[in-house]
Amino acid sequence: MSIGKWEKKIFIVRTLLFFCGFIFLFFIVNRIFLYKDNNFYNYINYMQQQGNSVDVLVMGSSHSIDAVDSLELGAVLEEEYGIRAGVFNMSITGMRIEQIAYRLQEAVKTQKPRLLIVETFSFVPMELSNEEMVRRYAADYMPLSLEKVGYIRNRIGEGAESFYVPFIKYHTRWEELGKDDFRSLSKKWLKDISSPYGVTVGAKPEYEGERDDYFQQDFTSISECREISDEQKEDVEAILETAKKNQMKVLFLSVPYKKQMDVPSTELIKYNNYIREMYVDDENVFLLDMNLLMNGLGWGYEYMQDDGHVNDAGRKEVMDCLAKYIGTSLGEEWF
Amino acid sequence: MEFNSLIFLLSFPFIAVIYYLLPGKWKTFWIFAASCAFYMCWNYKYIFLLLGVTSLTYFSGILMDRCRERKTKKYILVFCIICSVVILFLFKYFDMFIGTAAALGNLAGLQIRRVSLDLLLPVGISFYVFQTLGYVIDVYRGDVKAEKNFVDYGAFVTFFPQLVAGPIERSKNLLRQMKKKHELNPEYCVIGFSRMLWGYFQKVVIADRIAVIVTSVYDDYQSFSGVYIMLATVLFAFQIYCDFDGYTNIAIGTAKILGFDLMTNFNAPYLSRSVAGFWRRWHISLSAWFRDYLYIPLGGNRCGEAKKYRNLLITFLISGLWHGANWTYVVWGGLHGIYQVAESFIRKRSRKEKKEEGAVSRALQWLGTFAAVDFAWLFFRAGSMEDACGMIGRIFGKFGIQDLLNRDMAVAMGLGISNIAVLAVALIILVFSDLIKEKTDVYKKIWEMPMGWRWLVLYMAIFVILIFGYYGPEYDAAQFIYFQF
Repeated sequence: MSIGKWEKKIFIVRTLLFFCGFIFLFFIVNRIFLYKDNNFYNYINYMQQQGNSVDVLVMGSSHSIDAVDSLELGAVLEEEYGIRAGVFNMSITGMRIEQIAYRLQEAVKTQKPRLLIVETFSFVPMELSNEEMVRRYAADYMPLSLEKVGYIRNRIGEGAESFYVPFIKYHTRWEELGKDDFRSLSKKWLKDISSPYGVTVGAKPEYEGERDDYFQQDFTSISECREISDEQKEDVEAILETAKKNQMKVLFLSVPYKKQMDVPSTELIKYNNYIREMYVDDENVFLLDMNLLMNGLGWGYEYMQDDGHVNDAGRKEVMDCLAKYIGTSLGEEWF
Repeated sequence: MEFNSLIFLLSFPFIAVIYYLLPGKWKTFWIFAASCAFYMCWNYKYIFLLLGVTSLTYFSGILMDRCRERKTKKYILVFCIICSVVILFLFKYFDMFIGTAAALGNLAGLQIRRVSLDLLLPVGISFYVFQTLGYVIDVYRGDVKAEKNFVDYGAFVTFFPQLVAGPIERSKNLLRQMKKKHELNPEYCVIGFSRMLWGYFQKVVIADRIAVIVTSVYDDYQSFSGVYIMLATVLFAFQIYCDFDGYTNIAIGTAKILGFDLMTNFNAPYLSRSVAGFWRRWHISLSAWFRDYLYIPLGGNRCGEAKKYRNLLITFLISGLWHGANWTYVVWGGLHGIYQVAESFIRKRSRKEKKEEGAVSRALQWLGTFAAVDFAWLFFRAGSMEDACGMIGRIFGKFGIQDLLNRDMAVAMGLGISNIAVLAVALIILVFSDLIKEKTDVYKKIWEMPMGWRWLVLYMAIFVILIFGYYGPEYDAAQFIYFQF
């Protein structure tokens, strides 16, 4: 059975339309079927903030998630130091410096923060069993852009296609799907999402009665520097470059802790020493290593929810200290 | 290149577009070239083996066609068959037979050193060797003329949709189509595409999901009660059906888009009420091959009862061996041979008694057939005879029906409740589809739908496959849930 040329042309056009329809539907499905957890909500919330309303942008790992409350820091800055600043904590679980560098490029598209706080636990190299997940936190929700393509091409080797189209990986998650997984990312829904991070009040029972000796040591004597990797150097330079372009000051911050994933705070201090030596100029780039201040702050387990993260009381201490540093060290003309 | 690989999904539209853009005489050449490339994706070295078998049978066909003497023709045929069988034996069965001989020798107290060729099994070798053998036998018998055009013949042997898993095509059907002028046909494209989608549904939604359960149980059967082994074996019946029929449907659909009609290979086999009926519906192209080129030449059923049973047993034992180089396959084939002999006896008796068949009787026949076929699948799937016997021992010795409520065992099967729910729904769709397939041509119905509805059905099918497909365990979602940093 043969058909005419005209019918063939119609069929070809229809086939192309069908294919276009498929691509369109595929991208819709791809936006719906994403892993939706707090780390993603946080980023989406940022993207939906009113333009140029963020003055202080915080990026880092779970250390800064627990230690910095956006509203509270804003309030302390205003009450204590008369600085009116919108603060946004964009930290994500397990965030690495490479993701900070990449996300920052996305973040400055919609906001013009004046201060970027980079939490330095993100420098510590470690064997992440879930490295893919950490990378997904950085990439999956990003709209397709040159930055995203660059990130995927430079930092993700095998399986990169699922970073362009997360749905390829997502659709095996049948075991833990909830009703939220079938929701699209509507603005209304995002508004309903309250503060994404829970706050732990008081020390966890297993830490009660633990000795505080570790925190009472004087770490200022540690002068050794731990060099960061070449890739990380590129990332830091990219961050500083972006900051310079956008007239942003950068504050590297370390939150007090004892040990996290076999990395004691003494190790992080060495990384911080390197950062201080190589990048800090106390004009545009600053460093606040609160691990060096633990002794003076009278730090102890009453401020920790575990060996790695601060609790509610610890968070208040960190924010007082941080607000003081911002209010006094960055210069009055700055705000 | 597998049909469910990204590279196939991306390259097939390209192959099809070029195919339809090329002028008539280049189309077959393009198919031949694309098929060779398709095969080389697995192991490029084995293309020489494929082309060697193709050349051997091509020239044997031409020589036979030119010979006037029957005796010379026979020599050529025998030579060709021996060469093909030796190739098959070396690549597929040598290690198995030497291993068995060594084991038997050791039992008899002889010190036999086990020699192994350790050759990588060429993909689809059993299929293309049988297809080419069928062709030379047809030429010898005078059923078809020898093909003079090597490209046409090469395209017939290597035709990529059916190269690695069938259907085992006959030259009367496929080779003839290589010479036809294939124009773009919307109806063929829609029907072919719908059939491919159904194949993908069977493969990635059902078969790959069941595979998790079956692999968990069969790889560690000592940890499971008999009831779980039985459940896994029942599920395996559906896994192998969906896997193989799915592959066949993709093959037939792919060929259809290119304008070719491949033969039907499966026709709702589990609806059969006899094992003989099962074999008329299961892997039809292979059953027909064995019937035409082995069973009938042995004498078929026209040489007395005893010889008929012998022929049946020989045919099924060889059929079992064809499926794989392991004695478990031989036992599987042997069991089917025995079933057919037993059925033949029973049928003969019931014909004498001329009993009417009621609904209950028909239901029992269906159940009995499924149970017999499924029991044989246990040998087919087991890794060794020892494992097969161990599993049967547990089914009959430690059934443990109460273990169905054992949460640990259920979890150890590898699929959670959501996946089992998806599987249950998919199996219902499968059974429903097999039931209606007997009455209507669903793919044709899709083509006849108004365009809007047709698109809706096709989009839904695509997204059901994408969303509900089981794509392997590499994505460990638990990392997301329990991750603490």
